[in-house]
Amino acid sequence: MSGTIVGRVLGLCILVLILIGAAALVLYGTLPDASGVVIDAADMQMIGVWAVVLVVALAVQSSAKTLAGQIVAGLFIALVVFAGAMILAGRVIPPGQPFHLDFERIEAAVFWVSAAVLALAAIAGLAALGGLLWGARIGWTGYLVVAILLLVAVAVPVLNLWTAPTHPLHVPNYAVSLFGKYLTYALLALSVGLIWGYCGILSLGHGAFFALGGYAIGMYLMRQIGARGVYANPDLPDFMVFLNWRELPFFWHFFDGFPYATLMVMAVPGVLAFVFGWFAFRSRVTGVYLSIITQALTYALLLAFFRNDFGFGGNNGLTDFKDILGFNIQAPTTRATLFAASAIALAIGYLMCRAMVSSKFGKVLVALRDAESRTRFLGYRVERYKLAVFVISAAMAGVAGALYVPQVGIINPGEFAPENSIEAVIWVAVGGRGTLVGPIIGATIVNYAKTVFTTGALAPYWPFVLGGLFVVVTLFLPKGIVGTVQMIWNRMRERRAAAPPREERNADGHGTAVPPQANPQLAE
Amino acid sequence: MDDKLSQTVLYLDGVNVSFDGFRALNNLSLVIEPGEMRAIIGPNGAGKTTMMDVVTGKTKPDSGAVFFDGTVDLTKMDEASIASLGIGRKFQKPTVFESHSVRDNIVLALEGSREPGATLFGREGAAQTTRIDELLRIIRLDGKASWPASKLSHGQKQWLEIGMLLAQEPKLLLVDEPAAGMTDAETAETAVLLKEIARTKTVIVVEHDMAFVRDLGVKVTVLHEGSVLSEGSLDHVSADPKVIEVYLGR
Amino acid sequence: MRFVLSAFVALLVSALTGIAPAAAQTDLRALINALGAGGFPEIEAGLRAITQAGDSAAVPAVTALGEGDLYVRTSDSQVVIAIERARGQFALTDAVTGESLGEAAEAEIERIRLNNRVRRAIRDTLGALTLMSDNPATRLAAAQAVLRTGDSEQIPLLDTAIAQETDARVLAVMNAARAVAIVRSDRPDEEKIEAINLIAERGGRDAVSILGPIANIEGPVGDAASAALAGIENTQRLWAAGQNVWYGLSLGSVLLLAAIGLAITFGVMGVINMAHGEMVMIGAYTTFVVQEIIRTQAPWLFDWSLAIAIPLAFLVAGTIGVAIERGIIRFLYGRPLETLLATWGLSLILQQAVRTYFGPTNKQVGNPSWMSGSFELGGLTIAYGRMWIIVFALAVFAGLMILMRATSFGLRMRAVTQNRKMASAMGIRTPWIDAMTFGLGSGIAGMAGVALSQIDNVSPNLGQSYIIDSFMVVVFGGVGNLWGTLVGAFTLGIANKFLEPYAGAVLGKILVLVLIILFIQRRPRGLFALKGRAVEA
Repeated sequence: MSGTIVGRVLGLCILVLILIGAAALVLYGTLPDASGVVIDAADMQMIGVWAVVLVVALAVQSSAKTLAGQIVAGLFIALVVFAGAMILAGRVIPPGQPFHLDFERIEAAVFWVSAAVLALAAIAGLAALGGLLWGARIGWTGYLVVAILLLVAVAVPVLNLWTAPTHPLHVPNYAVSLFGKYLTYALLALSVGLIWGYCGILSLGHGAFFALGGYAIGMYLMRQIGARGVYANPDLPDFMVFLNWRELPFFWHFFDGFPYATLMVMAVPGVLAFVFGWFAFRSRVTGVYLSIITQALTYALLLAFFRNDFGFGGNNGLTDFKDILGFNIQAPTTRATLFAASAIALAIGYLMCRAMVSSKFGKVLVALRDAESRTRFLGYRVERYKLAVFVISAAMAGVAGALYVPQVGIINPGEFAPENSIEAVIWVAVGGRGTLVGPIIGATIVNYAKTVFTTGALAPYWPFVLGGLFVVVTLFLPKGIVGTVQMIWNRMRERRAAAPPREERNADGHGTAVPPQANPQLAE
Repeated sequence: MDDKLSQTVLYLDGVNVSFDGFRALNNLSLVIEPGEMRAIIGPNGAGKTTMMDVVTGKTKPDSGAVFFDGTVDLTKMDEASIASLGIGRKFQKPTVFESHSVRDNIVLALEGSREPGATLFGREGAAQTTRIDELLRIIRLDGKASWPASKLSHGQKQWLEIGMLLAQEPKLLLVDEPAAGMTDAETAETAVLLKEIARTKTVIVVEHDMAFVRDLGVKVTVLHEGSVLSEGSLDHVSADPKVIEVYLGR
Repeated sequence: MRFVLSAFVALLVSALTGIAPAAAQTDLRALINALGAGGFPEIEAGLRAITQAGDSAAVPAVTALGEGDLYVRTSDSQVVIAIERARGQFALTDAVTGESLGEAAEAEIERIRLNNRVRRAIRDTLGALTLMSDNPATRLAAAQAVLRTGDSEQIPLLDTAIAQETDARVLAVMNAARAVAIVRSDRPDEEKIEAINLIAERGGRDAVSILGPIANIEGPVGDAASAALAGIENTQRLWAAGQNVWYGLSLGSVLLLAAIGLAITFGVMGVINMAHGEMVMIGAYTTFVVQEIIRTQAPWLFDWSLAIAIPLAFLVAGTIGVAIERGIIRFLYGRPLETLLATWGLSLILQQAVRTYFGPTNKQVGNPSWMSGSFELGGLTIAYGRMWIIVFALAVFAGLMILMRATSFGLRMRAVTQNRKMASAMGIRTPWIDAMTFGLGSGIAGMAGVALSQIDNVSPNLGQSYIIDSFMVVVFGGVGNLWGTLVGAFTLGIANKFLEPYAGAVLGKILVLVLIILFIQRRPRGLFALKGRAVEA
C-alpha cells in the first residue's frame, strides 16, 4: 500500500471490512445452529476465483499511485468485497439463518450494483475522454475521421430501412451485418495498432480478448433464449441440457443482466491483460519472446474453450440467439442498430486513441517504443505505460468482440485460434502501422477482399493471397497504405518548401504550435 | 565516517563489477562533494562507463557501497527510480529520441510527474513553456525546435542531450564524453556551457579530450583497470609517473 | 497280479537298458492294459507304475480314465478309449497311439470304474507325467496349470519336480505354483508367509489377484498378504511413473528434433521462422513421396525407405530454407517482428500449396519392419519406433554439436551468434552464414518431419501442431546453446506427460504453458541464456 493518505485510509478500511467478514464467518461457524453450512466443490471453485480476483484487486491498489488511481482501485476492491459478501450470503450461510439471501435477491442486487457501476464507468469514461481532449490537441484529421464514422453510423441504417429495395443507394440487409462485422474488425485492428504502432508490442494473441468479449455477450444472449431453446429449459442453455447438467455453473450466474454482461465484456479481457501484462512487462520480456508468449496464451485458451466440459459450449460454441435487450436479433431494425453501435464504438475508440497518442502520454509511448532504455533513464516507469495501454487495448478488443457476436450470430472457440490474431496484425500492417486510421482502413480492405474471394470461385486461392499479403507488405510496404501516403505527402511538402525539413507530421499529426524556422546556423 | 558520508553527493566505496570473469571495476572508491565538477579520465576499458552504469542503476555491483546524498543506497534501486532521485545521465552516443522533434525531446525530459495519469491528462502550463523555451535557448536549438531530432548534426544532438539532462533538473549530472565528435569551436562552447551548469549543480564529466579537460579546469580523477590511479588537478596527474606510463604518455 | 508284476519287471528292465520308443510303446501298452485288469488296488498300482515309467504318452489314457472314458474291450482285454457317439454306439481309439479302432457297441466294452483313491492316484499320475515330462514346454504348461488352479494336492509332486528341474524359467513357474498351492492349503502359517513373499517377489497382476482375497483374512497370514500387496502396488506405481518418463522422453525427442532448427536460426539470426512447422511438414511429405515411389517401383526397398528419405528431406527442406532466406528474410534484416510476419505468410502459402497439390486429407506413411513392435524392459513397454526416434534425435544433436564445435562453419556460426558486427568486421561473410544457417535449420526440420511421419498423421496441418511446442522449447531453453534446447525439449516432454494422468492432456498442456510464462519471470531469456553486453543490444 502506498502513496497518499487517502489511499492508506481507504486501504485500511477495506482491510477492516475483510477482517470483519472473516470474523463473522468464523463466529457463524461456532454458533450451535450453524450446522447447515455446507461448502461443496462448486462453492470452493467460486471462492477460489474470488480469491484470485481479490489478489488482482490488491495488486492494482498497490500499483496505483495517484489519487484517481487509488480511488478506482478502491472501488475495485469494494466490488470484490461486495462479491464476497454475496457469496457468503448466498452460498455459505444456509437458508433460514439471518443474513442469508435468496438467489433472486442476490441476482437483483448484482443487477443494480452492476448497472450503477456501468453508469459510473460511463460517466467517468466520458469525463476522462473530455479531459483527454482538453489536454491533447487533435488535428482536424482526427475530427474528420470521427465525423465520417458518425455519418456512416447514420447513413447506412437510413439507407437500409428507409429506402426501397430498388433504390440505387439501398443497402441490403445482409450488407448491414457484413459491414457491421467489418467495423468490429476495424475496432479490433485499432486495438492491435495501438499497442503495436505506439508501444512496439506485437501481440499475436489479441484475438483472445476479442473472443472473450464475444463469449461474455454470448452468455448473455444464451440466457436470453430462456425456454425457447430446443430442450425448452428456462434455466439451462441447450448444450448444458444435452450434457445432463443439473444447474448453471457458477460463472454463468448473473449473465442474464445486461449491465453485468457489459461490464464483463470489458472486465474479463481487461483483468486477463492486466495479469498477463504485469508478469510479462515486469520481467522485461520484449520483442519476439513476447509475441510468442501471446500466441501461446491464445492457443491455451483455444484448447480450454474447445473442451465440452469447460462450460462454454465446447466445440460448437454459443449460438441460436433469439433476442438482445428484448429485440429480435434477426430483425432489420436490430441489425441496423447494432451497425450504428459498432460505428459509434469505433468512433469513440478512435477518438480516445487519438487523444491518447496526441498527449504527452503518446510521446512517452513513442519514446519507449524506439528507445526503451533511454526512456527508463528519464524516470518513466515503462512497465506501467505498457500495462496501461495493453489493458485498454484488451478492453477495446473485448468490446469489438461483443459487438461482433450479435451481428454474426455465433461465437465458437475457433475465434481463439492464433491464425485469427495474426490475421488482425496483417490488417494493421496493410493499413499502416504507425497510424490510427491505417488499421481501420486495412481491416476494411482486407476483409472485403476476403469476402470477395471466399464467397466466389477463387476460394482456394485466398490463403495464397493472404500469405502473399504478409510477405509483400512487410517487404515492400512496411509503412502500410496510410503510412506510405503520409510519407509521400511529406516528401512533396518538403520539396515545395525547398529549404529546411519541415515538421514531420509524425504518426497522427500531433504537432507543436511552433512554426518552422528559416536556415539553421550550424551547418549539417 | 558517517560525517564524511553525509557531506557527499556521491560516495562509492570498494565497488567491484565483473562481466563473465572480466573485472570492469576493481575495488573502486570515489567521493564527489556537493557542487563540484569532477573530470574522470583514463584509458579504454578503465571502467568509466561501467561506473556510470552502476551509479544510474543499469548494472548492479557485485560488492561495494554506492550512496547518493549520503543516505540513499543506489544499489537497491532501478533506473527509473534513480532518475527520479535527481541523477541524470548523458550518454556516450547521443541517444536522443530520433522520432520526436527537438522540442518534444525536451518536453519528455522536463521535470514533472512521470505517472501515466499525469502524462495522459496533463496540459503544458505557461511556466513549463517558459522553461522549455529557456532551455532551447541555452542549447542554441531554439530555432530548430520543430525539427525532427534525427536531422540534427552530431554536435547538435550532443547539445540536445545536455538540454534534456538539464530539463530533468537533476542534482547530479553524469556527462559521458560530451566533446566527442565535435569541432574545436563546439568543444570550447561545450566547456563554457558545462562550467555554467556546474555553478548550481554537481557534475561528473568523463572525457578523453585533454584540451577540453584543461578548459574545464577542475579536479581530475584518473581511472585505470577499474580503480583510481591518481587524483588531483590536471597538472598534478599529468606529472604523475603512473599516469604517464599508463595513459598520457611522455 | 502276476500280470502287473511282469509288467513291472519289463518296465524296470526297459528303464535300465534305455529301450527304443517302439519297445517303450509296447511296454506302455502293457502298463495301460494293466489298468484294465483287476480291481481298485490294481488300478492304483498300475497308475503308480505308469508314473514311474514317466512316459507322457500315457497322458491321454490316464486322462480318459479320469473322465470315465477308458474301457476294456472284452474280446481281447485291450484297454481302449471309447467315446459315445450315439446311443449305445461308441467310437474307439487306441489308448496309446490315438488311432481310431472303429466302432463298438456298448456290450463289447466294459468301463473301468474308479473310486476316490483311484481318482487321487490319477491326478498324481497326470501331474507327475506332465511336470516331469522330458519336454520343457510341457513342464512349463503343467506348472502354469498348477499356478492357475493353486491345487494344494499337487504340492508333493511339485516338490519332486522342483528338485530335479534344470530349466530356470520352468523352475520359477514351479516355485510360484508351489507358493500359490501352499497359500491355498492348510499348511502352517510360517510356510504360507514364506510362500506369500515368494509370490510378492514375482509381482505383477497375477500376484495381486492371488493375494487380494487373502489380504482380508485376519491374522498374520492376512497381514503378510496385505503388506506384500502394498509393496507390489508401490512397485507398479513406480513402473507406471517410469513408463510416463519414457513417454516423456519420447515426446521430448520429437520436440528436440522439431525445435533445434528453430533454436539455431533464432540464435544466429535473431529471427523466429513461423514457417518452420511447414519445413517439418515438407519433410513428412518427402517421406510419403519416397515411399510411394518405392511402393510402385521397388517394393523390396521398403525397409530402406527412411534411410533414403532422411537425406532427401534434409536437402529438400534445406534448399527451400536457403531460398526463403535469400528471397525474403535477407531484406528484413534487423526487423525481427516483420520477419515473423513474413514467414507466417509463407507458412500459409506453403500449407495451401501442399493442400492443393496433395489434397487436404491425411496421407498414409508406413513403418518399416524394424520400426514396428515393442519389447519389455522390466515393467516398461518400449516401442521400437519411439526408441529409434530417440536414438535419431540424439544422433542429430550429437552431429550438430560436432558441427558447431569442431568445424570452421560452426565456429563462424557461433561468432555471428555472439556478436554479429564483430564477426562481420573480422571478415566472416555474415550473409552467407545466414543463408547456410537458415538452410541447416530448415533441413533439420525436414528430417524431423521424416521421424514425425512415423508416429503422427501426415497432413498439411502437421506443422501447426508442433510449432507452438517448438516455440515453447526455444523460449524455455534459451538460445545460443544447443544444450538449452536439449534440456528444454526433454523437460517439457516429461512435464507434459507427467501432468497428463492427473490433469488430462489439455489441462496439462495449459499448465505447462502457464508454468513457462511464470518461469520467464525469473529468466526472461530462457534456461541457458547468453550473457554480456553484446546480447543486450
